[in-house]
Amino acid sequence: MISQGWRRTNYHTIGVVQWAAGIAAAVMGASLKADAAIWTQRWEFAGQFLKALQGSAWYSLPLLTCLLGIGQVARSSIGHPRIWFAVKQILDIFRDDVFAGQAGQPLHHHRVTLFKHKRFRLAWVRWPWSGWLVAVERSGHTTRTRTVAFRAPDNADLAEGIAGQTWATRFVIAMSGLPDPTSTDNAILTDYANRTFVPVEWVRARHFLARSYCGIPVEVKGRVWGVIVLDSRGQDSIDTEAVRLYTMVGKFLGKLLERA
Amino acid sequence: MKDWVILDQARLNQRREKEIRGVRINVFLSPYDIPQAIRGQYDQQIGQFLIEFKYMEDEPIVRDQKDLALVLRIGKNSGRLFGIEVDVDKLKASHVNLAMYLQNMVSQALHKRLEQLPSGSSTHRNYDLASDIIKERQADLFGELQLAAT
Repeated sequence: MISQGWRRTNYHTIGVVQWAAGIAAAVMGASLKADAAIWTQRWEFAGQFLKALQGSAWYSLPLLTCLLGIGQVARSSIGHPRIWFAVKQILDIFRDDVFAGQAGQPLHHHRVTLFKHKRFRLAWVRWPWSGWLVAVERSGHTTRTRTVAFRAPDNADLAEGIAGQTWATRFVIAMSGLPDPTSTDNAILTDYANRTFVPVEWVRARHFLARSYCGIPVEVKGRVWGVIVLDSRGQDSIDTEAVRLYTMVGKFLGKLLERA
Repeated sequence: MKDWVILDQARLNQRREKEIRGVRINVFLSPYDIPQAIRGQYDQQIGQFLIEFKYMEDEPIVRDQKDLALVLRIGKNSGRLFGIEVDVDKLKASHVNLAMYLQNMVSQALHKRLEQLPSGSSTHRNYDLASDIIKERQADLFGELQLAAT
């Protein structure tokens, strides 16, 4: 997950670079019409500079144009910091409302995570192009560094995790009363893995997993954009109220994600 | 223009059990699939009766002409039901009990559409729900038409 600070710094830095590249391209374009000899008579330095600009324009202009384009792609993939700040606030509010009964417990024991569906995931995985649900934002300020992603391929039978099944079915999926994933008993771990649609190795590799989940599809303009997954270490901490609460925040979330 | 009638989403969205890959899980309809409000109105000037559903999220709509007099308004991306248009003028001459005929016509059109959709899918459930809501509120929806016909 991208931190707010990283996103803000990079988004604005790329913006500054884009402006600089735009101005440089405009100056370079204009310099092609100028007469270097006249400028050399007035100020020798300006004339030399103009000649250098004109001489390098054949490769500088295409390069600057490419830089502008790459910058735009990079900014789009990072996302506008204000929009993502608002998305984070919505997730925090949603978390506070859904888990109001769990006040006093650590924030990361009851979380709300927003996953975005991506066709391609830049990672060292077996099927990077198969379609993935990648965590893009999460409530709270902890447990944010680890990259979480579940397979969500076109062949929906292979969708993994509560997130993957929510995406595949377009239903709200609620799963509670899961067995203890910290157990060393293989049967318990296998049961946990089966009920959460993940490989048992995935469960073994994680020591602190939730005991109840709720997946809610997130739509933008009628298309499934991704999913929201609520997870809690409590066995029965997520009730049906979550769905009702989502109808209140979902409309704002959809409008923000349209621009994200 | 008639006012929207707000629907009780919590009542409409009941928990159901579903089996996925041998695992029994509790599912609810997506909040996006449940209509938040409904309205039915008869525009005498153009002779059109229109039932509309309002959802959490708007999207572009396509018109699916079911027969000469009936058109379904369907969400372009989600496929959910956004409205039903009936050209009342085309039916007026041939049917005495227009409101009753219209109810049957709408019900049949939705039934046909339901048969085309994969059973158990969220879109199927959306049409099922829409059909139930229309049946439940038929007195309100078709009442105006009854008055107009008399």
